[in-house]
Amino acid sequence: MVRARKHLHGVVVLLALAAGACGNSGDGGAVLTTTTAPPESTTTAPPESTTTAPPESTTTAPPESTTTAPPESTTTAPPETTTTTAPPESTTTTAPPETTTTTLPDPRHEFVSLDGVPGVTDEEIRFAVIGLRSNNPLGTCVLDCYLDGINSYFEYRNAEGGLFGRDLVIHEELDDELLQNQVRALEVIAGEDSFAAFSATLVATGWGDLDEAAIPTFVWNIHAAESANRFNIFGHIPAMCAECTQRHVPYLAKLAGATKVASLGYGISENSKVCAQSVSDSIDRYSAEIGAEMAYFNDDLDFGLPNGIAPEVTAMMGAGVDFISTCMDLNGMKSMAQEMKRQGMDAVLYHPNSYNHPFVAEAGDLFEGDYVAPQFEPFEADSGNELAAAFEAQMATGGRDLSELAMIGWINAHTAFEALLGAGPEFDRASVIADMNSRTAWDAGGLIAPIDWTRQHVPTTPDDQSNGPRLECAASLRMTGGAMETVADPATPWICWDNVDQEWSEPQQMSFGG
Amino acid sequence: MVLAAGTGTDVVRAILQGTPPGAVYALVALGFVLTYKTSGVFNLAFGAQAFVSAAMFFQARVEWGWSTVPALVLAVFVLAPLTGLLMERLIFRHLRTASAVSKLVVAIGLSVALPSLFETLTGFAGVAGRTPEGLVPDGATVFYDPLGVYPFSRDELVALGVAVVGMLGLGALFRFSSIGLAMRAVVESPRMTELAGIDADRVSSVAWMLSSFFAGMAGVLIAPRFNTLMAPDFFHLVVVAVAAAAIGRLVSLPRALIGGLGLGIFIALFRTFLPRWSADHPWLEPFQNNLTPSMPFVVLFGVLVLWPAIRRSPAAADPLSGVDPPPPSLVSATRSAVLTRAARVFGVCFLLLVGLTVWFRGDVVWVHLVTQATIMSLILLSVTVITGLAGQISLCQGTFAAIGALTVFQLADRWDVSVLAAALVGAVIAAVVGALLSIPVLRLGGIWLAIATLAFAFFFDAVMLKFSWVGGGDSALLQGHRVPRPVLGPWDLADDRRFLVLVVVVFALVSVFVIRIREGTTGLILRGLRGSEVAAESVGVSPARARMLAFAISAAIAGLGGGLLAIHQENVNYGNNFTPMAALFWVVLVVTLSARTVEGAAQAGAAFSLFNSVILRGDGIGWITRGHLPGFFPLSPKWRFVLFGLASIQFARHPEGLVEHGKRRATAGMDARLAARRERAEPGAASSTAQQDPPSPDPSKVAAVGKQP
Repeated sequence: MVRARKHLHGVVVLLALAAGACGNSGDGGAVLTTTTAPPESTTTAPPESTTTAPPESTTTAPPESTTTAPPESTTTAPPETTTTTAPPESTTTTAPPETTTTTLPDPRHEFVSLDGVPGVTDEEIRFAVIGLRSNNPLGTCVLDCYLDGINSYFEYRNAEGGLFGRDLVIHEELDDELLQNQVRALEVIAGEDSFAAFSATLVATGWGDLDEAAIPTFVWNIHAAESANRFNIFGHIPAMCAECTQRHVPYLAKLAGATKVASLGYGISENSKVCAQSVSDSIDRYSAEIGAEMAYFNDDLDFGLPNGIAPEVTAMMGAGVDFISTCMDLNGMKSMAQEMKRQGMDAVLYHPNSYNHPFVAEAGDLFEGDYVAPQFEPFEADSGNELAAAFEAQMATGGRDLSELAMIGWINAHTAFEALLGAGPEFDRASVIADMNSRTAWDAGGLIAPIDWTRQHVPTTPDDQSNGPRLECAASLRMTGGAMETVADPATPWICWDNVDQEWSEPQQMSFGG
Repeated sequence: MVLAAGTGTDVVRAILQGTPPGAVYALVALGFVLTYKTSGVFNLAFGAQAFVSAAMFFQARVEWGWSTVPALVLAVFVLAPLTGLLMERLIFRHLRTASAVSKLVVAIGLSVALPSLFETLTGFAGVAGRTPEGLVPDGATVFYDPLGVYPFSRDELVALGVAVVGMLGLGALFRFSSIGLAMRAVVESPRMTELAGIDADRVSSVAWMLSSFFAGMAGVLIAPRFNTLMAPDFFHLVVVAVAAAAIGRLVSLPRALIGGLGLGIFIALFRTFLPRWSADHPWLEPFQNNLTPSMPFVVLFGVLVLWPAIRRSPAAADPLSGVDPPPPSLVSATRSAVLTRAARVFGVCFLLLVGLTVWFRGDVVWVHLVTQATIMSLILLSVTVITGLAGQISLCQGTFAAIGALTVFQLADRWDVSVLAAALVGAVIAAVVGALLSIPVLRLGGIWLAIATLAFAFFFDAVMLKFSWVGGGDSALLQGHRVPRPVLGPWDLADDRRFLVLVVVVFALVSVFVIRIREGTTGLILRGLRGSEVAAESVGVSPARARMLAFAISAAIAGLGGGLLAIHQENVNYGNNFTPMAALFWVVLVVTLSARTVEGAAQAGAAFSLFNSVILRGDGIGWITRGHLPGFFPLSPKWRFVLFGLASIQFARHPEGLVEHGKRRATAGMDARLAARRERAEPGAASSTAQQDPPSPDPSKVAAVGKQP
């Protein structure tokens, strides 16, 4: 009955989305030397703490990197391989490691009959996927693209024989129609025939119920408030600190040669406002180091810019702004770029939510020279990451288009797979959750910046950053000619900072694959 | 405030910058006025009509590769008038003598149904970043800057030109043409018009086709402003443009044009200068922070409340409306005692059956849904009070419910207060806000009150929610609005079934309270005010006090329901539950089903919460057939909106409400059968019984009566 109620509600959702992506990408939780680990073993290999860390790495690693190495990580090492890491040839942390691999008996195919584990039969491990298909106010592909990624991953693994003698299958596809997320979550709970759940939606009202039911839930985490302090929910990024300063946007301003920076947000959303304030604080904090200063701040824009953004663009021009960071959705970004073009304003934009290739292509040269930062290793990277290559190959095999949500689905599916693998052939929901929650450097095979799931369910705050990531990382891209290219070397697409004290330093180019 | 050097240029630039959005508002406002003048309908479906034509144009132009002219002909010259004609023939012809509020309800229903129907039939879907094309080549990329201050695009110049030409043309139509005069006459009194030999139906059809044509043209012209073509954007635009139309009191085309342009320019000036001033004068900063996003709603509310001319402009009243019979009594008040007892027994048995089934057979989903339906029914009882009993349309019931929910969150989060106690406090706070709101809108009635309350709802949404003492601020940012379940003595209400029992008890108590109000002195006073405020005042009734009381009671019920909903969902979920648009549809649902009865609220609550699962997803049929669902289930969610529109069409034929209409038909049938049985058993008894029990009205006659919301 409430199509139009979705409207304003959609507004709030959009804003959450816009703000959710802003500042997220810095989350990570691994020691620097994680970059030398190969994709699969990254999550499970013993940290370089003692024997495998290259000498150069230890110079760049946070001091606590060796002391915080999780002893339990050895217990989660993949049984099929043992990995040793040779020191890289260069002094940077970007060189892929030389590894030697010894193949062991593969327990992935060890079958143990399980009784009483929901969603698990002798043939299948079943999953539910809850996402947004109908009534999407953004006009973007969410559930279907997300399913592309999960299906591709499951096909990829099933072609290898599945897991523990079973196929991985999507048992339920549930369209939450924007506002029915909680009901769909309850349906999964009541059905008791899905082992775990995936969720990609704009309104995550059901995550709390899935968490309370102790169902392992793997999500597109643009909802910090709904995922925070919920220990059964695993996002492609952890719960974030929206208010903390970060170095990523100041670095892009420096890279663009900017001297005057603007930060913009929507007034209707607290998330967007906080995001805009965080950027402003970050520029202020690192102003001396980047040679730029805040010149314009506005966190009161109308959502959707129904009145245009002409006065604000004029004001920014008057202030001499040459770099604009926003906490806005992609449609708002396009409106602003169009207005800038109309008024002849020449400034570089930072887009938090525009990693959408058809959207960027459609815009032509409108975004020329602008920056965007997805929250995973971008498709434009060339790091040699095997899982990224498998993703692209499997998507092509299935005739599916690459998309942001497909990659998120792939990452979520890989997280579920690895947690199952770590739990062993006699798995259940609790053991799968426990396995992932024991991982201190989960990087999804090198596709994301590492997450310490022993800590990072609890969001950090400006006053207490003890749960923050050990590395602040972003995989920035520059838009050019309707396409995108990595800011860093495609082989090491991540730009990272040691996050011990958030002081400025020159970033390291890294990759987490091998 | 002394303007700095160069301010003159800045002012000119701001005026120019405000003109393009102002032209858009003016176009929509003109359409509003046109529709209101020619049909008497406050057409909130205008945006939907505009969207349909814009989407059709986009589909033909971009997807099918048509050139501009044939695409324009199809979208604006064929589809738009055809839509208007169908709306008039199927719906508004039957509502010609209905109250403006009844027409508003139907228009809201159509605002939902039309885009969904179009998308279902054509497969159209908005895609992010696919900006619609305008009417002229390179309309968005070629600019003209005659003053050297701010350039206009071709698309904007065309929109501005059409707005001006439209205003002049329509003005001439109404002033100099016979059809224009006839249109206005039909709105004022179709009966008198027909007495003068004019075919009111034909004139009405032409009026609707004309206004729909204008909507279509406006849609095609506006579309390039949106980078994704989505119906909600058009609806939002309409809500903003209402402020401009209100400046024209819904009848003046030039004022609507000036209002639209003025609103756009005023907002641009505001956004140009206030940030500078607040940089120098920090005390202005809160105004800048809070007024910028809510300016249209502040203007709208201010116009309605502070402009005396609005209060003195009652909706057009048919001089022959006296020939209409008064609203019929409730069926429950007129049917025989036997039937009343039978209905009550049936009702109790049905509820018991449902309750026991849910208790013993329902899984967590069904317990959740039934609990939600019960709470929604409770919230919708607030509509029963304010609309059904007091005859006022309030479109901010969602805001009152949100106040209750947010109070629960705040008290539980900050001071660890029991959520049940907090829900009661929330009800009290909502009542106070409701009472205060009733003061400025005291003299507004009918459609103006509806608009003012809608503006208040948007104001709360855009401004109040941002205050940390309302929306939670940082706390909510990190954790959302999480709310715990209560423990009541020995009962831990974290158990869903126990919580359902609590909710049912609360609903029953509030229902009894509402019935007591309806049957008691307060109900009589409110009924008297509905009939004639002057007459009621002459016998010592204070309309101000009565209206304040009605608002307060209604708000308290909504607040209590909102609090319980937050406890039930363990989260406030403001965006999911309480947005202004949600509240719009609450009102439509209740009025469509039955605004004056508890059953109406209960059925509206059930429909709101269960329709999706029971009907669209086929769970109801699946339960009956043991899982053997026909292949076409689940139905597309879009059918929900289409069916919602169809329900509003039915409402057009039965303005007393579909539930009340059904009850009346059933009661008449039962009465007839009982009378026939008595007649057979005891010839002559039926006529004597009929003298004792009030007769049931003839349903066909009752259905023709349309003077109530």
